Amino acid sequence: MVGQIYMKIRCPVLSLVVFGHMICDGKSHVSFNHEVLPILSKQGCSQGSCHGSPHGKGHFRLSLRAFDPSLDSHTIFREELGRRINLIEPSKSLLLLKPTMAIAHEGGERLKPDGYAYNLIREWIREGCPTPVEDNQCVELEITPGESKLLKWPEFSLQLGARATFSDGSSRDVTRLAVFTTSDENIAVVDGSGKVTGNSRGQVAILVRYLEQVQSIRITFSRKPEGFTWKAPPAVNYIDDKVYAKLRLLHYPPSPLIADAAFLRRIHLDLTGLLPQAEVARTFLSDETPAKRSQLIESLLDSPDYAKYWARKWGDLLRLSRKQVGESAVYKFADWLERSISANQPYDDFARDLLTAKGSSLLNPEANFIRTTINAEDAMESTAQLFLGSRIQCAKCHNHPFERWTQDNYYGLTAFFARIKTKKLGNGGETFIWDAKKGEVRHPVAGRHVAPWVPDTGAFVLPPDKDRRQVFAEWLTKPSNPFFARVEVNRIWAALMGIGIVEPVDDFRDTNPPSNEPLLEELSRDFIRSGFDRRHLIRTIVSSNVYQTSGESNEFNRDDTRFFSFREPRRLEAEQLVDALGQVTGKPMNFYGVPVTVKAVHLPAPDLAQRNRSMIGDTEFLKVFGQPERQTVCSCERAGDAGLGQALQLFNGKLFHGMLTAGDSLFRKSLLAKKPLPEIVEHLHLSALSRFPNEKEKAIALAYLEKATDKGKALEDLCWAILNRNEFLFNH
Amino acid sequence: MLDFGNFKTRDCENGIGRRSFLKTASALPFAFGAGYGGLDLEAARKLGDRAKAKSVILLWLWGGPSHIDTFDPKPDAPMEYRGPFGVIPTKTDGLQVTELLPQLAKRSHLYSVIRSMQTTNGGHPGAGTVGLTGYEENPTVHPNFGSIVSKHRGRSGALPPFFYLGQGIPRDLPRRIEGYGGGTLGKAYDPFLVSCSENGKVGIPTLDLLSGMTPNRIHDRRRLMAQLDDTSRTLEGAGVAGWNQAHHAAYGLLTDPKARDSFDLTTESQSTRDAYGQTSFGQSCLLARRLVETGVPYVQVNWSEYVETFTPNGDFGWDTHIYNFELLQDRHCPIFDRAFSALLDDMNSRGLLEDTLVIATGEFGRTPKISNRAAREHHKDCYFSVWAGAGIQPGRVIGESDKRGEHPVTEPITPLMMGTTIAELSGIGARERAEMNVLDGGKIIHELL
Repeated sequence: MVGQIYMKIRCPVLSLVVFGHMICDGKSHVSFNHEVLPILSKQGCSQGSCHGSPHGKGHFRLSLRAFDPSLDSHTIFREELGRRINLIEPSKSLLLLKPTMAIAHEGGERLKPDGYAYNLIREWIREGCPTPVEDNQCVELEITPGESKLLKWPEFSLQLGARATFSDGSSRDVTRLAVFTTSDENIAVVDGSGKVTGNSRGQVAILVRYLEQVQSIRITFSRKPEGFTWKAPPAVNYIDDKVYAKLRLLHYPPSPLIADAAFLRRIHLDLTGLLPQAEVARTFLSDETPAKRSQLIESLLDSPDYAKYWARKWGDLLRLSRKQVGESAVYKFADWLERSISANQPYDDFARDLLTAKGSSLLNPEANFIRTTINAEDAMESTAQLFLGSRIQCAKCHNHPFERWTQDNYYGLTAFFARIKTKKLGNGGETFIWDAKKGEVRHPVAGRHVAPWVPDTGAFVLPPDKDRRQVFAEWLTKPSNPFFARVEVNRIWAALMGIGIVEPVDDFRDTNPPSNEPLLEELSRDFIRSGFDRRHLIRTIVSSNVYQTSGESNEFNRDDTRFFSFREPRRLEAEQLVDALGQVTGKPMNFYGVPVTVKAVHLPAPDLAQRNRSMIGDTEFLKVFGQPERQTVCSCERAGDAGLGQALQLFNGKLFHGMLTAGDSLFRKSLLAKKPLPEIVEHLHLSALSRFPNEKEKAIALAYLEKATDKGKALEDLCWAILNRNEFLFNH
Repeated sequence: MLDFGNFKTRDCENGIGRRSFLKTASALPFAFGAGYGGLDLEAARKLGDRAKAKSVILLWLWGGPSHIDTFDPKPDAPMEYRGPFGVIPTKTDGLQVTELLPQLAKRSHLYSVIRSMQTTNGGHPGAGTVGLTGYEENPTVHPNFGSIVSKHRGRSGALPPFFYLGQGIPRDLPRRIEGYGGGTLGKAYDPFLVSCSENGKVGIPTLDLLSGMTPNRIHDRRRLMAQLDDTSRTLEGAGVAGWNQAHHAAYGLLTDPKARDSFDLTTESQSTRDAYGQTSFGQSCLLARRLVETGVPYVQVNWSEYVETFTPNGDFGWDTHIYNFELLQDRHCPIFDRAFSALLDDMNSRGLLEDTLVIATGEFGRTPKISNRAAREHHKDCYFSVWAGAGIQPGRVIGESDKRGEHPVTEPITPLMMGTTIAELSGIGARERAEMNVLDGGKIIHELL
C-alpha cells in the first residue's frame, strides 16, 4: 500500500526538479558514469545473461556492460515513473532492495548491505542521482604490477591494482570498480578485489576492464615437483631454446625424441596428409645416412603431394565448395591454391592477391574469396578471422566485452570492404567482382558514416578514387603489422604440432594469450625475415627437437596440454583416414567429379556431389569423421570429436567393410599369388604402421592365420585388427 | 530417485548451480555397465555453466497439425471455419482447447501454448527445414537446433548427443527435409537414428550387421586387436581416451545385448508403457524420456516419416488434406493427447521437467477455412507450439491469432525465435551463437520465461 501511494505522488516533473537542483548545487561526489555504472557492471548486473540482455530481465534493462550511459540513466532514474529510486530514503530504493535480496531477486544476492558497492550507490542516490553529461573520458588503464609476473610456489597469490587516467588529466585508483576475469580457472582464480590465487602450475591471463578500457596481465605459476630433474636434448634451433626455456620454468621435462619409424609416419602425414608406402618405409628404415631425416623433409616439401595437401588446408578456410563458388570455380580455385603453395608464393603476396582480386571468378580464381562473402560486414569478419586471428563478430552489435575491439572499430574495418560489387554472369557460375567509386558504411547507433580504420594507425583519410581494399592489404601485409605474421605462424605451428601457441588458432585476444610468447615472437620475426616464406617456416619447425618429440608423456609432463613437452596424439583427419584405409587394403575410395586416382586429401571440394541419388551415402564416411562443409572461415569447422557414429563406421560401415571384403584387395591378391604369410603380415605392418612387426606381433598374426581354414577371411580380420589399433588411427 | 539439488541457489551466470548439476550427473544410472562411463567431467562442467535445459525433447508433429482443431479453437467463428469439434476448459484461465485433447487440458498447468507461430514456407520439406533450423534451405542449409546443441555440448558419455526417434528422417514422397541435421556444422552433428515400433521394438539401422558379420566375428577381431595392442605401449591422451570410449560403446552396442538396454522399453513397467500408448509415437516418447535420463542433450521425436496419410507408403503424418476431422478425432489426437500427457506426467514425477525442455510443434498449421474436400490445407501464417519444463513459465497462453485463426494479431513468433530460445536455455548464449555462426538475428521468446 505504501508503495502505491508513494508512486502516485512521485512524478517525472518532480524528479527533474530535484535532479536539476542537485547539479546546480555542486555537491555531487559520486560519478554515475565512472563509479555507479562500473560497479553495476562489476556486480554482473549488466551482463548479457542478466539485465544486460537485449530485453533485460524482470522488466529492467541495462545496456550491455554499461556501454550506453544515457540510456542507463534514463532506465534507472526515470523509467517506470522513477520507482527504482527512493530519493527520500535512499536505502529503500528498489535499486538497492533487489540486489541485497531484501526483496526477492531472481539474480540472487549481488550487493552486501553496507559494502563498498552498496554504499557507493546509496550515496549517489542520496545526492539525488546526478547524471551529468560526462565529457571526461577514461583514456588509460594501468595495471600493477605491469604486464607479466612470475610466481613461485608457495607464493601463489598476488594483489593486482588498477589505475585509470582521464582525459582531463586526473587519475584515480579503480581497483574496486574494475572487473577482473581469469583465462583459466584451473590455474588461477581472481576475486572482485583483484586478488589472484594460483591453483596449480601453469599460465593465465587476468583481464581487467574498466569502462571502455581493457588491460591484461600474464601470470606464470611455477612449482617444482618432487624428484624433478631437468633433462633435454641439445637444442637444434631457436624453437628448442624457447620451448625448453618455458618447460624448464614450469618444470615439464620434454619426452624423448622419436625413432625413425615414428618420424617417417609423422612427417608424411603432416606434410602430405598421406601414409608412406610400404616400400618407402622399408627403404627409409634401412637407410643409414645420418642426414636422412632432413633429406626426407626436403624431398617431401618439394613434392606435389605437399602442395596439394596444404592447398586443401586453405580450401577449408576459404570456403572452397561447390555450394559457395559453383562447380567450375571449385577446380580453378583449388588449382590456384595448389600452384601458389607449389611455387612457394610469399604469404604476404598470397594475402594481397586474395584481398584485392577483381574481375571474373573463373579467369581470376583468387577472386573467389571475395565472392564467398555475402556483404561488406561478412568480408571484413572473414578477413579479420583469417588474417588478424580475430573473431570480431560480437563487436557488430556492441563493444566487445572480452577485448579491445569496439563497435566503431568494427565498422571502421568494414569500411574497407564497403565498395565491393559483384554480379553473376550466368556462365558456369561465373561472377564478376569490382569496386564502386562510392559507398560508405553507416554506424548503426550514431548513424554517421564511418571512415576506414585500422588498429595502430587509426582512421584513414583517403582520396575518393583510392582503392580501399588495396590500402587495407598494404597495411595488413606490412612487416610491422602486429597481427599478420603471428596469425599465420600460429596456424602453421598448430597444423604441425596439433595445437596452436594461441588456441583456438583464430582467436587472438588479451584473455587468450599465447602459451609461449617468446616462441611466437621469434617464429614471426623469422617468418618476416625470410620474406614470408612458408616452406622455410615449416622446415624450421619440423627440424626442431620439439617437433620430433615423442607422443608419450612422462610422470612430470603428463598434465601439460599446451607447452609442447610431448606431442599429443590426434586422430587422423577424415580424408587422411580414408586414404590410409585405401592404401593398406589396396582399394582406394573413388570420388565423383575427379579421376579415380585422386585421393581424398586432394579433393578440390567436399561437395562434388553425386547427381545420382542412389549413390547418396557414399561420402557418409568422410562426413561422419568430420570433413568440413566449408561454409565458414573458422578452422573449428573441421570436427575432431570422437563419436559413436565413427566407431560404428569402422565396425560395421559399408565403405570399410567393402574395402576389406573386396575380391581384389591387396592381401587377397598376395594370397592368390601364393606369397608366404609372414611376408603378407610384414607388408601390412609396413603399409599401415610404417614399421616392421615385432616378434610377438608376427607370432600372434601368424597363429591367427594358420589356424583359420578360410585364409582370406582371416586376413580380413587381421587387417581389421591392425587398422583399428590406435597406432594406426592416430597421428602420433 | 535423483537428487537435483537446490535450484534456488542458481544465479545469473550459472543457470544451474554447478554443484547441483554434478550431483545429478553422478547420480545418473550407468545403464551401460563397465567401460561405458557416464558424462565426462568436462562436458558436465561446460553444461553446468549456464544451461537451464540439460536436455531438450522436441515432439515434431510432421505434416502440419491443424491449430484450430487442437490448441487454438475458434468456437465463435463461422461454421466453415470452426469445424465440428467442441471446446473444453483447461487448468489455465483463458485457455480452451478442443474436446480432442482432454488429457492435455487437465495438464495445462505444466505447459504454455504459443498461438502466434508463423513460418515462411508453405511446402513440407521447405517448411520442415525452416521449422528445424530457423532458415530457408537456400542458399545454405543451416544446422538443426539439435546439431547446434550437440556441437556445443560435445560428447556426453557413451551415447550420441542428438537422437532422432520414430520412423526415420522426415520427408514427403519426393524428398526429405534438408535441415534434418548438421548443415553448415557438418555431418558429424547429424542425428543418430533410432526407430521405434508400436510394440516398443527398437531398431537402429547402423547396428544392423552387414553380410558376413556376426557378433562372434566382431568379438574375434577385437580380441585379435587387443592381443596385438598388448605387445607394445599403447597411446594415451585425451583424444585417445575419447576414441577408446566411442570404440567400446560401439562394440557394446553391436555385440552385447545388455548394452542395448537403454533402448529396451520392455524393462519399463506395463503400466508406464500403456500410459504412453502402444503406438510408435507413444513408445518413442517413452524412449525419449529414457535417453534424457541418461544425459542425452537433444532428442527429436518424429511423429511420422512421411507427411502423407493415405498415400501408399505414407505413415499417417498430420498432412490431412482429406479426412482431416475423422483422422484427428479417431487417430491423431487420441495418440498425441495420450503420449504427450504421459510424457509430461512421467517427466514431472521424476523431476526431469525441471531441467528438460519439452516442445511440441509442427512445420505449419492448417487452413482455418474448411476446404471443398471437407478438410484443411497447408497454412503457414498461423500455427501453434507447446512448451514445458526448463524454466518455462507454465500455464500461460502466449500470442493470439485473429478471430478466424488466420493470422497472429500479436507479434508473430518464428521458428528462428524457437531455435534461439532452445539455444539460450541450453546455455548457448549470444556470444556462443555468434562464434558458432548460428541463429544469426534470432530473438528469444521472452514471454515464455
